[in-house]
Amino acid sequence: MNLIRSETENHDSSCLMNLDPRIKIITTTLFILVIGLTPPSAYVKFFLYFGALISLFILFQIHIKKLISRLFILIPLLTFLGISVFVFGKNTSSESIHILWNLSVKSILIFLCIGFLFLTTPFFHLIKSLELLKTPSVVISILTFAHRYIFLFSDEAERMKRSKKSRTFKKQKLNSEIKTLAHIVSHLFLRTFERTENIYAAMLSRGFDRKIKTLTFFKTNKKDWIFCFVFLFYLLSVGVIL
Amino acid sequence: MKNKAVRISDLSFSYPDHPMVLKNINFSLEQGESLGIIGPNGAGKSTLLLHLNGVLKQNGAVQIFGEPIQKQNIKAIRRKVGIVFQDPNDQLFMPTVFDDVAFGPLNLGMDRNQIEEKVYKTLQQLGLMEYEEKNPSHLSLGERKKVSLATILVLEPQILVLDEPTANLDPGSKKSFICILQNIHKTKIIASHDMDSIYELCDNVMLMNKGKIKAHGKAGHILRNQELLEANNLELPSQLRN
Repeated sequence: MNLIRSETENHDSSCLMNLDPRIKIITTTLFILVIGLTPPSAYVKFFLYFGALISLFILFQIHIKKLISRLFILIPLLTFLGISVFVFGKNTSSESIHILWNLSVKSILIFLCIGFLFLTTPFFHLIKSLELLKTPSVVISILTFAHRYIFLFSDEAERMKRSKKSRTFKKQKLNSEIKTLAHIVSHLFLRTFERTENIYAAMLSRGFDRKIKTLTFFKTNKKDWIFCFVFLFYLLSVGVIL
Repeated sequence: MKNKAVRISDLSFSYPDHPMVLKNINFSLEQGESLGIIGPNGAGKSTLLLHLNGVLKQNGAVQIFGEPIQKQNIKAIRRKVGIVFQDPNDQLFMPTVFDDVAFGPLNLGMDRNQIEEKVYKTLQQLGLMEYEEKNPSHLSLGERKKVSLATILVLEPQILVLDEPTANLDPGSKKSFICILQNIHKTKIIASHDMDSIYELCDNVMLMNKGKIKAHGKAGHILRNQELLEANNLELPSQLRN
């Protein structure tokens, strides 16, 4: 969520930020695909991809430190993968290390790609671009609402947690802690339901007909095509020729 | 004969899991009139407002400028009657203030070239120009209330309906919001239990309790009737106390 929240911080620090978001989405998606399809033993390729991403961060003036620090959210996932591979897997230990390397390096690189996209493009530009790229309107609506209300519900959950804390006088047993948490979650669901009803009424009253419409204003210029060409050329050289 | 702006005849309504919320409501409203609907919590004020542009429907019970609200004319009715909801978080669901204000005009099929002009004009009218690219969830409550009003004013409705417009506002924001509303010369229906704002904004007042109309008349007359107000869990406006 911090990654999404940070969208407001970064967007005007570089002239490259103004690239057409559609170009950014397409190139990032291609990059993710190429990373996913790279064989795990292609160490040089991974190194070059990482180099490409670092160059992009520098070009776009992204706070690399901040992004790297957010990589820590991958630790639980990688730990879980490690446990699954080593404890429950039926492979030899060298194979397991190989699998874990494959998953780790790819998830880190993909995370950095997504981070690049989020930190260089305001969320609503991403949404509009997805709409222009013919993403189904249901997906667009879900993303729009998720982004709009995720903070509201996290704040609501925080308030409920605080209220619970203010009425807790001694440390609760795990059992009752889980029970309280379940009550908080169920209340949050109920409130969500009520809110969706209200939002729908508000939408209807402004003529909503089940399609989210927005005013789009993106224009692709020379700078976008140069970026797209250089990026694809690099991917092609690393992915196919090397 | 000139048609009334709003005419409601024998309107009764109940939600599936509630007893009767509105019981036999009858009233009419002249064009240009400001009507305050007052009443304690659960009186049915908000439910009544939702009938005014067909979010809740009772065939033929509600007429806007002589036209009964029906499925066929719902779009036209919603263009005439704009509702500003109590909680701006329900009203504002788009990623930016600009998109939220443009949402209604886009849905009502206004010309795309005109929309931008109208949105900027409305934002300017309410002093919101600097917020156009901001996410509504990052604004203060007072600012969100103004944006909510902008989302409706941009549609240039003939009847403006406001549900608790001054609820939870600090005195400064409340004063500025009342000032804005005083300068909007349209037919207005304002539901609130903030007696001060009703006193400042409305020519006539309708008192509701338990889904029924208890009194309807000149604001000066009803808002001075301490006995009536107290019997319905309300109080005199501060301007009329001694």
